[in-house]
Amino acid sequence: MSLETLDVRGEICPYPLFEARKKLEALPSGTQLQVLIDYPLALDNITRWAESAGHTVLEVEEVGAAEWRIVIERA
Amino acid sequence: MRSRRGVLAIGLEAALAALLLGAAAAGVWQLNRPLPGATALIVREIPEGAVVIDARGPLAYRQGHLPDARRLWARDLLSFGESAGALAQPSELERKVRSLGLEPGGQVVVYDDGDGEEAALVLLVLRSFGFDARLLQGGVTAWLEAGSELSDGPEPQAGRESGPLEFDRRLIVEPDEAHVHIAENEVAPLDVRDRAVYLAGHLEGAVNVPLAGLIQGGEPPRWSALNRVLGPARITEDTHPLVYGENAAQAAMAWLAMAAYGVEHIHVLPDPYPVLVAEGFEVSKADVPAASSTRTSSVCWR
Amino acid sequence: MVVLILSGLVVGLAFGYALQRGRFCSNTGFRDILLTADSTMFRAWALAVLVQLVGVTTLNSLGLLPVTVPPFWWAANLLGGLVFGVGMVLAGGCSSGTCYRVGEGLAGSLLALIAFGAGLLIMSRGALAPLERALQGSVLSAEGESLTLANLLGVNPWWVVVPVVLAGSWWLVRSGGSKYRSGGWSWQRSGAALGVIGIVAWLSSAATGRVYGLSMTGPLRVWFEGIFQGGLALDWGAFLIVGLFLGAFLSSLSHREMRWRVPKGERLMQSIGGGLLMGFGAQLAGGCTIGHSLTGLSVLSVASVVTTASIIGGAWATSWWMFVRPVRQMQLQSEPFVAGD
Repeated sequence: MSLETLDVRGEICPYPLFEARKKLEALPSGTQLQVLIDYPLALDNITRWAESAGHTVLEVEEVGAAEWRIVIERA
Repeated sequence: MRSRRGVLAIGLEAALAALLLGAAAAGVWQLNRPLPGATALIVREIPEGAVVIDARGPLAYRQGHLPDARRLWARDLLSFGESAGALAQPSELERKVRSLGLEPGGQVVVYDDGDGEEAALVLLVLRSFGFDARLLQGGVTAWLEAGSELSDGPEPQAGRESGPLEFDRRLIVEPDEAHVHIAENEVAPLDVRDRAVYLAGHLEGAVNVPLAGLIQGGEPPRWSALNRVLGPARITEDTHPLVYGENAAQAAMAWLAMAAYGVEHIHVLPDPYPVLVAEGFEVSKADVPAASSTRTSSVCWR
Repeated sequence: MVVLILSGLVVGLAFGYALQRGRFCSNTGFRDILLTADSTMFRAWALAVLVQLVGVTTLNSLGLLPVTVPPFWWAANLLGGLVFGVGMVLAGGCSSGTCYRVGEGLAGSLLALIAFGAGLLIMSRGALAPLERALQGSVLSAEGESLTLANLLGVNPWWVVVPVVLAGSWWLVRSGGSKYRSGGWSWQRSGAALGVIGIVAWLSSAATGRVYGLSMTGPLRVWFEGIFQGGLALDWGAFLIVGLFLGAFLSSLSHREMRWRVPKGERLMQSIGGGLLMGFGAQLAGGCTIGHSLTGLSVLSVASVVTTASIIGGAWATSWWMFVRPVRQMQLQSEPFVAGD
C-alpha cells in the first residue's frame, strides 16, 4: 500500500479538486494519495467527491492555519 | 465534522446579527416615517380660529367654497405682461395679500380643488410674507369626502387691510438675485421637471430632480418616494437648493415637497423656464450627474 | 452621514462574514454541477435567492419597501453574462467569492480583483465604452417599466413567487445535508443567512436613497473610479464593500483561516485574465452574480434571469473545456485496449 503525495497548496479553485481527481484516478486500486491543500472549500469539495466516487477518505488532519492533509484510498 | 467556533466567533456572530436587526429596523422606519417637515406645512383639518383661503378662481368659488373662506386666486399672483406666467412684483403681491386683512401671527389654511397646484403657490407667497400658512391636504375633494358641506355664500368682506408686510427675498428670488447666487456657488440649482424635458434644455449646472411627477394629487408623497429622487441628488439639510420648473405652480409644489422632506434653506425661482431662457440664463443640454459631487449623501435624519 | 456609514458597513460586515463562513461562491455552485455532479453550493445559492425573493416581495407588497428593477438590455445582458461566466471560471471565483477570498489572504484573488476593476473601467469609460453604449441602447420594457417576470405575464408578482418558492423548496428539502469537514457553515445556514442579509441590504440601502440590494459591480466601480480617476462619491454601496472585506477578514482570522497564499506564475496570469473578463462582463451586463443572480432575481427581473442563464452558460462551456474534457480524455486513454475477438 504505497503512499503518493500531491501538493496543491497555493492553487486556485478548482485546481485542488481537479488535480487530485486526475492523479487519484490514474493510480492503481488500493493506493493511498496524500493531498496537501490550503483552501477550505477544497477540503469540502475533495472529500465529498472522493466519497461519492466510491473512494475512502482515511484521514483529514489540520496541519496549520488553513492547511490540511487528506489521505484518500483509491477504490 | 469539527467545529472551531470559539467564544470570539460566537460573540462576533451574535453582534453581527444584532446589528443587522438594527439596520433592518432603522431602514423600515426611515423609509416609512412621516415627513419631518410635513406637520408644519400640511394639515388635514382646519385648526380652530384659522383663516381659510380659497386659492381657486371666482367661478369655482361661487359654485361652492369652504365656509367663511376668503379668496386669493393663484392666477392673480402671476403677471401676464412681457414675462407671461412669472410671479408679479413683490409690491403688487404685497398689495393683494394686504387686502385679505390677515392678522400677523394668526394661522392661515389654504386650499384648492385638491391637486395642490394653486394652493401651493398661494402658500408660498403667504409664507414669504411671514404668515404661518398651511395647506389643507386634499382640498375640496377631501372636504366633500369627509362629508362636510360647501357654502355658496358671498365672499366675506375683509375688515381692515393688514399693515405693511415684509417680503422674504431669500424664499422667492428674482432672476437677478438668482444669477448672483448661482455665480457665487451659494446655491444648488435644481430643475424639477421631468427628465426628458430636462435633457432638451435646462439651466447650466442644474441637476435634474424630477419632483414634478411625485407631488400631484395634493397628498404629500411618502418619504421613500421623495428620498428616491432627492437622495441620489445629494440633497441634505445643508443644501441650499434653488428650484425652478415649468411654471410658478410647479416650482411652488416642488418647494412644498422639499420643505416637507425637511430641507430648510430653499430658494424658489418661480419664473417659468421659457422666461428664464429669455432672461439670459445660460442653458445647456448636458446631463449634470449628481454623483459628480464629492460630498457624501445623507438623509434628513431628524 | 453616520447612518449611511453604519448601515452599509454593518450589512457589508455580515455579508463578508457569511460569505467566508459559507465559502459561498456562485462560480463553484454553477461549475460543480458539471464538474462533479455536486449541487451543494448551488443549493446554498438557490436558498439565498428564495429567501430574499419572499422577503423582498412581502415588504414591497406591504408598501414598506420600494424596489428598482434593472433594465433589460437584452444584448448586453446576454453577452455580458457570457463573458462574465468565462472570466469567473478562469479567475477561480465570482465577484463576491474573489472579494471574500481577498479577506482570507489569497494573492491570486487580489490580483483578480484589481483586474476586475480595470475591466470595469475599460468597459465603462475606456476603449470598450462604445460597445457598452451600443449594446445597452436597446432596452425591452413593459410600457416604460423594467421587465419583470410578473409584468411580462401581466400578473401580480405573487403568482410567480409562490410557484417558484414551492417548487424550489421542495427540491431543496429533498436534497440532504452534506458533511462539512472544514468547519464552515452548511449550505442551509449560509443560504438562509445570505438571503436574510440580502433583505436587510434592500431596506438599509433604500433608506439612504440607493434603491437596490446587495451588489458588487456598482460599488466596486465607485472605488476604482475614485482611486484611479479621482472624485470618490461614497454611498451605501461603497461602505458595503469596505464592510465585506473587513467581515471576511474577521471571519477568517477568528477561525484561523487567514493566511497569505500566492499561486504559481501561470495561475496568476490566468487569475488576472479571468478578472479582466469578469470586469468587462459585469459592467456590460449591469451586474454580476450578486447584483443580478442574487438581488435582481429577488425582484423577478427578466434582465437578471437572462444574465444568470448566460453566466451559467459561459461558466459551463469554460469548465467543460478546461476541466471535464481533459479528464474524459484521460479516462478514454486509460481504458485497456481489448484485442478483438
